[in-house]
Amino acid sequence: MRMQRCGIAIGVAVTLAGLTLHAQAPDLKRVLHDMANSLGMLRSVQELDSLMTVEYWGTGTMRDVGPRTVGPEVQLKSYYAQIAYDFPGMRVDMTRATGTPQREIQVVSGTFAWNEGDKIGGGLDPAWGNAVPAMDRVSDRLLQLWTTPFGVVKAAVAAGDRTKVTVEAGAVVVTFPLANGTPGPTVNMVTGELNGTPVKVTLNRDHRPERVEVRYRDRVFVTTYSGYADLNEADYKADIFLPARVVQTVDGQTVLDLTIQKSNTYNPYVIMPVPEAVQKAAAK
Amino acid sequence: MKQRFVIGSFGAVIAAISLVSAGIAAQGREGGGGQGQAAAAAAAAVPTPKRPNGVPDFSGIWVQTRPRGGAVPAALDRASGNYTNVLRSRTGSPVDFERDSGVRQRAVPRDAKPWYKPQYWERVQFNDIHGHSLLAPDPEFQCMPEGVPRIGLPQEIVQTEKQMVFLYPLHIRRIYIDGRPHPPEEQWIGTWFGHSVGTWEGDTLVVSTVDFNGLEWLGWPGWFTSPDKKVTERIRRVGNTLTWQATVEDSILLRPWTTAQQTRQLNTDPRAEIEEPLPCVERDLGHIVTRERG
Repeated sequence: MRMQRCGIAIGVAVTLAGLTLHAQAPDLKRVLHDMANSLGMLRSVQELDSLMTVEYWGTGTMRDVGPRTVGPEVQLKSYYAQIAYDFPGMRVDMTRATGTPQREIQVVSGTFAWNEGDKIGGGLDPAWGNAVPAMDRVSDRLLQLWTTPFGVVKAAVAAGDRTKVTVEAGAVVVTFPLANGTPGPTVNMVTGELNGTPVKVTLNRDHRPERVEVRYRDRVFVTTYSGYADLNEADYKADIFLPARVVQTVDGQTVLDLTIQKSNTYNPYVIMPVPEAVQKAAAK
Repeated sequence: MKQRFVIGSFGAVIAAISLVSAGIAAQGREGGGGQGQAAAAAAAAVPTPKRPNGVPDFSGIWVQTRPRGGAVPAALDRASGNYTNVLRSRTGSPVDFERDSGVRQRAVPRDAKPWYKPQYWERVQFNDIHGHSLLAPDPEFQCMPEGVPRIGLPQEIVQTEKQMVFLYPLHIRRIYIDGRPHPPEEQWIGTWFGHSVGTWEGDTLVVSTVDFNGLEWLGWPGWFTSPDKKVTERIRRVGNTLTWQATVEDSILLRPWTTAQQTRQLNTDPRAEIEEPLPCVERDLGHIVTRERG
């Protein structure tokens, strides 16, 4: 009995010591590795970040976010996103159940933003739709890109020694400023006022981003991610994990509640060349 | 394609081969970085042989060179020299190998991809997803010729005053260097390797190729082509090193696409031989049950 008690005591001491160590100083490099690895980004024996592009499909509700207010909630009949982290660029093609425009294709690519007409890739070929510049949305859209689960891993790595890791209420928390990283296969590009924006990422027990908080333009953007799974189709699994549910709030008000039904995480062919009309408009 | 048959039928054999290869690669990475660069420098320092008419002589067997001295694989135990992974994947399992390779092979930076016009993006994606099925099979997977520029530099070049003959394991390509033009467009017949003519710009052979069948792909991730494709290759010999790069123009592209550069070194062994390759026989398509490919 005495030995049993002794054993229990040692066990508790070891556990407490472990917890203390865990609470004190999680190793940043290990945390970033575990984040990337748990999302399936690291591939080959060299464990290289091999995720460059993704696309996913979902439905849900949204509100337009204005400079100071948010619009009424609308149903999303469809939501299709393409992300290219290597440049970076993001295209969101969404169709609202009500309101105008019913279908909107929002694009950001590097330092350019525009909306495509009724076709993906509109404005790139005279025979294929049109593009309307939306240069004032560059930062907003890049912010969406860098606060996705894969985006925060890449952005945290790019922030270098400005990235910190702590423990809050038992959860590992990674904080970093959005910053221009070293050019390479994956470029972390932020522009203007986005540069230096503080990001706080709370990880779940599987080391995956569960809550991403950003303070930007005197507002608090919080995105929560849950239900991580390989959402690729059954015969096309890649072991890359996306959250099945995405909820985003601005100052506490829900502006996006998305259920992701399907993804393609095999670095699909996703490009966002900047239409000439957008380049010309931006140059003016 | 014969390799696919081997993988499908004798997984254990390929695993063993991979282990040996991995060990060799690991050794190379450990100490071979400088050696590889030194060999390349030595090959380039040799005088470039010229033919009687003064142009460089490309004749010879050209072997692939790989840069060494890259990152040490995570599975390599430096102390013991043991290499625990038998397949180049996260866990060494064949399933991960396929998925890792599938992700890695598609990890192409934006500017290294061909930029298709948007009306063709869906087709590229469809080809990519169904590349190992009968819906949109990669022609190479079906043992069809790779076409130009996908096939790249040959194993051996035979040069005469009239033509360069490029010898590949399973194919032959002819590049006419006697000043003839391409045939007029109304005589084009559409072929896998097209019609190639070469001219010299200094010591660089500039090869123009047209008259394709539009069935060949530019690359593994579904990068299809049209019969409008025109390819310009630039091949240069410096000493015993041959470099190659190609630019593709096609009506389905937004802008010309340039391949990565390839380098080969001359096999200077006067008794060097090339073994007869096994024939390419497609045996896998009927057995593939998922769309995963790597």
